[in-house]
Amino acid sequence: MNLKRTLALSHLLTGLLVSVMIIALLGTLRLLTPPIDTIGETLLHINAQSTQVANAVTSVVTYFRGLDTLGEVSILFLSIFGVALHMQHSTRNLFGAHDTLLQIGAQVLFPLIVLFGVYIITHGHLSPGGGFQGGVIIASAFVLRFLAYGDHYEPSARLLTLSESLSGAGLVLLGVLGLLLGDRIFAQILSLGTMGTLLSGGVIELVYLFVGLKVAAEMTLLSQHFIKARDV
Amino acid sequence: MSLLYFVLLPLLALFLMPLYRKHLHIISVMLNLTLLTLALTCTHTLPMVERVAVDLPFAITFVLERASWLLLTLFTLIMSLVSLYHLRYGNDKALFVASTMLGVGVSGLILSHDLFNIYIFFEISSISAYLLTALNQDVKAYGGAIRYMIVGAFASLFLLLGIMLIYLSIGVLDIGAIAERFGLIEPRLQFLILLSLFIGFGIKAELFGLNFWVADIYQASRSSVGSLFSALLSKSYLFVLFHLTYLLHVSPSQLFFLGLIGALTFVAAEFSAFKSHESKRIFAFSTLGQIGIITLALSYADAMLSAAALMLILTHAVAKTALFLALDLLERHFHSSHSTIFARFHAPFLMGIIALAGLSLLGIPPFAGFVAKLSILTGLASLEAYGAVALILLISLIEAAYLFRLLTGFRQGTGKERLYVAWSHKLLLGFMVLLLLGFGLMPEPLLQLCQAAAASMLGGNHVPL
Repeated sequence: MNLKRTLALSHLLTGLLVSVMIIALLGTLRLLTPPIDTIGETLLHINAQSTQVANAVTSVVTYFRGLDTLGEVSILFLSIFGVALHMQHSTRNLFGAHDTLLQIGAQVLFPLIVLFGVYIITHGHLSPGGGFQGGVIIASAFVLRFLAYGDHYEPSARLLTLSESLSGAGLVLLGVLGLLLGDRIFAQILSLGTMGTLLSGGVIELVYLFVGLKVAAEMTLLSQHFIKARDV
Repeated sequence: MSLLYFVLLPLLALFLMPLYRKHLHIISVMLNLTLLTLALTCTHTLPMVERVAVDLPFAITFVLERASWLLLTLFTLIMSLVSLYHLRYGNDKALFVASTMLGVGVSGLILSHDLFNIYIFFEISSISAYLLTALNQDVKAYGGAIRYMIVGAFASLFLLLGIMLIYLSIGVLDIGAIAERFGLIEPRLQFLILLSLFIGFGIKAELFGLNFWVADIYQASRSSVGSLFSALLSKSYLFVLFHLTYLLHVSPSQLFFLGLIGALTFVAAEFSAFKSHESKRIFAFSTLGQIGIITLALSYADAMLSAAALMLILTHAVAKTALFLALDLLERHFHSSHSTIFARFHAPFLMGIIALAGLSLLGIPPFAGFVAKLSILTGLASLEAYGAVALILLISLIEAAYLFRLLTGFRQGTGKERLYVAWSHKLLLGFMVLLLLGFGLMPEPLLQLCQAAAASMLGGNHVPL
């Protein structure tokens, strides 16, 4: 059997497996019954006991499954590092706009968007939102500046890299502190407030703060790479 | 000592990168040697069970038992050797980030007992592998990386599908709890879940029918990266696949299917290697061949065979690392990895390393590879699987043919170029071959470790909730 035939056979078998899989999936989805235990009630019960966080989803993301979140932050870091490494850069911005109205608009909106992003991050434990969402909102303020100022706007690469780096390290160190002083990664080593108040989350708020800062810096860097790409 | 340090320390080193950006190669060596030391210090405290998150049913458990410890130690050893190898070439930020993240990914894969958490580490190791493939930043590297990414997305999709079906059916993600409740799932759905997990992990573990992409990826990557793929990546996925297989108590017919896939992987890979004339492709197909034998041996779910398979994982990882690193030296010099380069240089030490590691790979005494393959053959014979014994012996002749063809290249050609090999590289490569020789002459300690690991793996190292 030569190499080409082996490869052809491999392709054929893969195709067959996928076909079987799709047919089986369509046929057996109807077999799914609701899980033996529904998770919602249990989550609310545990959340009330372990944290003072009003938004139970935040408790899952940052506290109960904080390790998964750290993994997701690492995936984001790795993906953006890959883009930065392999993108061919141009010295010119793709959007060389010189619209005065747009620039004034961007000037007015920039602090408001950043403020809104900070609000979303700091209130992630009280209402829908959090570090990932708030971080992306802050990055969108920088995207607006890229669009409005063209080549005349260049955020400090040093500041962005340092923010990204220190927030990531802060997140990991918070995890290590939890292990050393508490019973788990991201353990509650800070005192909790009263449910529903701004300072009620303890460590959870710090986790979201670091995640938000990291996502904001990384998404800004990512946008910059795409905007300054030689070929898009 | 927390098992999470195997994940947290590399992440901390990565995130603090701007503070020591000019010394990444030194940090890499220090980090990997620290992790290797940590792994070795765990020897006397096994098994270690650590609840990373404590609240049920959201708990995430990390488990280090004999089998995962053996692999963790192997992975940190290989990472240390590869980082020491690169020390001479100075700072390489991309290599530092991608290889460190790969270490995080494979460590998490073998330590975590939570299926969704395993998926996170699956993604981390996959993305690191795409980056490692593209390190050369040329058309070939990008082509390989994109192909790898497409295949990887396919694997992730099936793995996620399997996890989703499990969670929707029984509402848990801890693999101990899944093992307890898996029988409650409707049999047809059970089959679909197993098939999804098999395709997800099978693609990454480079099994037959799902491994058509492997040789191209190895060829597109640097040779030193090939050592990480061959020794770490495929082995970690294979470990998780069989870990789940044993925990979920799959039926004998499903184990037979895995064995059949293993045999087909072995046969197809060895024939493909024989047909190939490109060194990296030959080594890639040879890796597939060994994965085939390991899969075949593990599919019997027998203590003796599983111990032998684990021994083959260890010896193959060391031999392949030595071969890929030696090839990397040649590739850096000749800018080619075609097998004809073997006839173009004169470097007795390097030629000796390639020959000795090749002999261990082939299973020739007195190297450790011989002990591993002999254990597999005697294990199969004790189970009266004479067909499998005959197949391994017969196909090994093909393996011998292409490896000797490669080695005879040293004797061909005239006016050979004298190749300088640095002392640091000689020490490293020599150490690896000495390891193979040492464990070949005195295999008992390693065999005992593998037997304990196999017993732990087959016992299911179940952590009841």
